[in-house]
Amino acid sequence: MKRFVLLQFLFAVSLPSAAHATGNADCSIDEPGLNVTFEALYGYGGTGELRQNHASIALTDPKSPPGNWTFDLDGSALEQQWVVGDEFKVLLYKEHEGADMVLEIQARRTAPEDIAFDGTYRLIIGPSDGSLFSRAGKVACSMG
Amino acid sequence: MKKIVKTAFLAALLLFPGHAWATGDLGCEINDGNLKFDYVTLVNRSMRLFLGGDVRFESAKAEIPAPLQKLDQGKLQLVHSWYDDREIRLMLYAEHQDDKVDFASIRLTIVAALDENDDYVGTYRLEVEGTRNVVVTGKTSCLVG
Repeated sequence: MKRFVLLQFLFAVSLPSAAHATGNADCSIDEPGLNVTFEALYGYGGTGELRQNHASIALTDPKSPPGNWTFDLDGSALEQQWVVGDEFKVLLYKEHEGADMVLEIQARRTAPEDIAFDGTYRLIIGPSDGSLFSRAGKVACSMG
Repeated sequence: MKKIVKTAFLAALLLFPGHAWATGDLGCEINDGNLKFDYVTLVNRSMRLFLGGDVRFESAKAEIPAPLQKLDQGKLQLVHSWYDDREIRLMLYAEHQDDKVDFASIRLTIVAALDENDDYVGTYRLEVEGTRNVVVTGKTSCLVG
């Protein structure tokens, strides 16, 4: 077993510098009326951008616009990202139920070298009737 | 009608502190003796940034490998970006490897904040990896229009 682990290690360190290991980035919002999970891969050691991101949103807030607001977002929803150093910022955008939806997450690393990030979110939905729904709160993320 | 509703939505977002919500050009310039660099990109209403044409890096201080001095859209990646009505952040990256160049990369990070004159001003950090690794820093300004 030790030999296998050693071989694995030697294989890993023999990889070219351009090949970087990946980690998992996760965020969750767990509040009455809103549950969100955001998951992505990122490369550490390189430029560290998020890839293969996916989000699930379940908005059951009684004030939410009409329609089914439990839905998934694929990678195309990631409009902006700044995942650099101790900062984690993503902006997701999607047209859903005839409305524009924006979810912004901004979090900071809780302690040096820690994988946990704490921050806030803002959810804005502009339904086709011209009204505006928005709510904000706290979000917890991790990068490990 | 749909256009009016969408315009109203986008206008409302402007009232919500945070993102400037418009389609236009976003450009940053560096010309401080250490680095000459111009960058213009399109930004859409959802703030996604689209790289423009060719980008040139000219530096007297950093020895930028020849294949990385002029980069087209396919080679230069906008790996991180953040744009709102308070700040602009960009991280541009490219790397090159061939028979002549073992490995070389260039990474430019720009962070600019809106000042009292409504100008985006800030700093840049250029990191060049190649036969010689060099870091160059300085000031930059950006415009959105």
